[in-house]
Amino acid sequence: MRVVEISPVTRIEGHAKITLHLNDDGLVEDSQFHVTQVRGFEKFCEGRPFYEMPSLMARICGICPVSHLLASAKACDAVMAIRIPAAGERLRHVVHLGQIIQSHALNFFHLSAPDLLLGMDSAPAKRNVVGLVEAHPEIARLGIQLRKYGQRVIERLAAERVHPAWIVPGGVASPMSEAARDELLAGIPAAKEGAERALALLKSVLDRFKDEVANFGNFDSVYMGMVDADGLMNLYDGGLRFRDAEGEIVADHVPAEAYSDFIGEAVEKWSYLKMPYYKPMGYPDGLYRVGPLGRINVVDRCGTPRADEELEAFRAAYGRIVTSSFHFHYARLIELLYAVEKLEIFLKDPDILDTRVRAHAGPNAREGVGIAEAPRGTLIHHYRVDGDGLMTWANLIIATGNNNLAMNKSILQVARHFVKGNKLKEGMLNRVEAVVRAYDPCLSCSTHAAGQMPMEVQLLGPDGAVLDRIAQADEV
Amino acid sequence: MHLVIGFGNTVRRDDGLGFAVAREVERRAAGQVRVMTVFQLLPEHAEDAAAAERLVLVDAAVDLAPGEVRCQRLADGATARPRPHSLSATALADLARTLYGRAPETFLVTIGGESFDFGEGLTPRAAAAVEQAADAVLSVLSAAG
Repeated sequence: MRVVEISPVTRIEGHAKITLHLNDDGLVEDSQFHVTQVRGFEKFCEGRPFYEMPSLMARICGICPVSHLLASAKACDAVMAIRIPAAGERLRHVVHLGQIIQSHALNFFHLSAPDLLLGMDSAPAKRNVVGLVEAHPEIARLGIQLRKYGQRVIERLAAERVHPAWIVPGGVASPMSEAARDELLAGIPAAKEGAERALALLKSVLDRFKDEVANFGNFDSVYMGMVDADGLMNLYDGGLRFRDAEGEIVADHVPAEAYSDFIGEAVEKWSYLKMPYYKPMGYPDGLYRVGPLGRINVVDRCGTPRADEELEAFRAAYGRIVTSSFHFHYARLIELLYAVEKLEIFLKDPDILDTRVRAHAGPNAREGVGIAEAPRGTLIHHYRVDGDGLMTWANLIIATGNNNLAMNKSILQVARHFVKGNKLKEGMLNRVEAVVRAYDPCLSCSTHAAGQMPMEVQLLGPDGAVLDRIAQADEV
Repeated sequence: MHLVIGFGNTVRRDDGLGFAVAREVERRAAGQVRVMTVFQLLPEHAEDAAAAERLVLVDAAVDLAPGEVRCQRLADGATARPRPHSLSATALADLARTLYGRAPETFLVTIGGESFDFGEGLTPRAAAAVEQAADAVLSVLSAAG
């Protein structure tokens, strides 16, 4: 048995490595996606007052702090046993849409576009954001513009783009000003055009990736995402819906506090990332997928005009349940369009300027669960407190963790299809990494250190001797 | 208008020097200069940079004595690899030139830090250098007229 190690995986958020286990014929027998960092947030928050949790939890991630703030604040709302003012809910939703826009734009334009526009087999020295800037400066500018707009939404409401303290238990800290609303509304046409162009761009290159579509995590699974009461996409609030591989809804409108009836958590000794699974099917058969593809598969519709047209075309082309993880990219861009449209709807509603945005209360319950749909998938915060409101226990199911089993299975499928023989080729190994990027995993984010180490791939013999090696200059 | 970007991490003690100096500049030259404070230089800052008359980036340094201030002009046309998560000062100017057709004259003001441990607030020696660093920034900008 030989082992191929890809360490670190580049152009993702955080640190990970992949090992491929080859048999004596040089064929991939097994693979593992190792998340090599431990964070410990669940443990070190014990003893802290519950109302500090949003600020503490936002530090988990520098890309999607808003999602952690929301899930955490919602768990705190439940501990306070209150209903927050409608305007507070709307503003939380708006800031979340800003984050979805900036995060999806970051993934598509900066992390995935090098593979999609320059090609999986293009020279690694150019297959990165530098190569993209040189080859397609207009695409790079578009990415910057969209990401900047999403960040501006967050900044205009929450004052800070990263780790804002504006989302608080009970609502938000301050209402939206008319000037902020007008500024953000003025940016909608350009953002919409940017999202449309991104989608058109992806569709124009899809034909080049037929092999990848067929082999990038293309398998049956359960899908999970949040929907509103009418079964439409809702990234801020609603109930959990699970669809099986045949498209049947197997659980619907599951309230936040019942999540553990449907989601179990397993651990493997070779990774710090937990392995959540759909409980009724057991571990590891209960593999499910979340994030853009999961959401697009579970919702009846998005609920905004252009996104629904695109969703219809997507389903017409690939089926009601789309099984290839390569299409996370496509689904992500439909969501990007949805987020801009939904944001416009909120901003045009005069009620968005309501000033009653926060409810106040102490701890009135010993337990609370908050769920939000982060850019990468369903994010669950579950807290228990003592009578004084001090944290006694926390459980977090991070968006990326939900996809852990699926990522592992996808890597194995890709490796079996593309990696053959004892000699390693950069293009095939890039495909192993690229399937991970399709999920847009967020493994640490707070350090933003992805790609600052060189990628090195080693083929090891049974005695540990290096049989082959590919080193790549730091690619991001 | 001139642009000053202070960057760093305010919860790693003296890594917050960029923020502190940028805020001091803002206090002393409000309305005359655009000031931004960011955790990292990012690709989207290239657009802001390209629009600036003159650009001054302010950062903490580990290779200077605590409190020592250095001001250097970045060479025109220098190139460096941009990253999606963080850019060097040179890469930011380079990206502005490549994407928006213009890079302003760019200066980097760095201040030696003493502690980069977890925690808020500058060490006394770093705090004492904030005014001098702000002087350096304003001096660069006033020289531009």
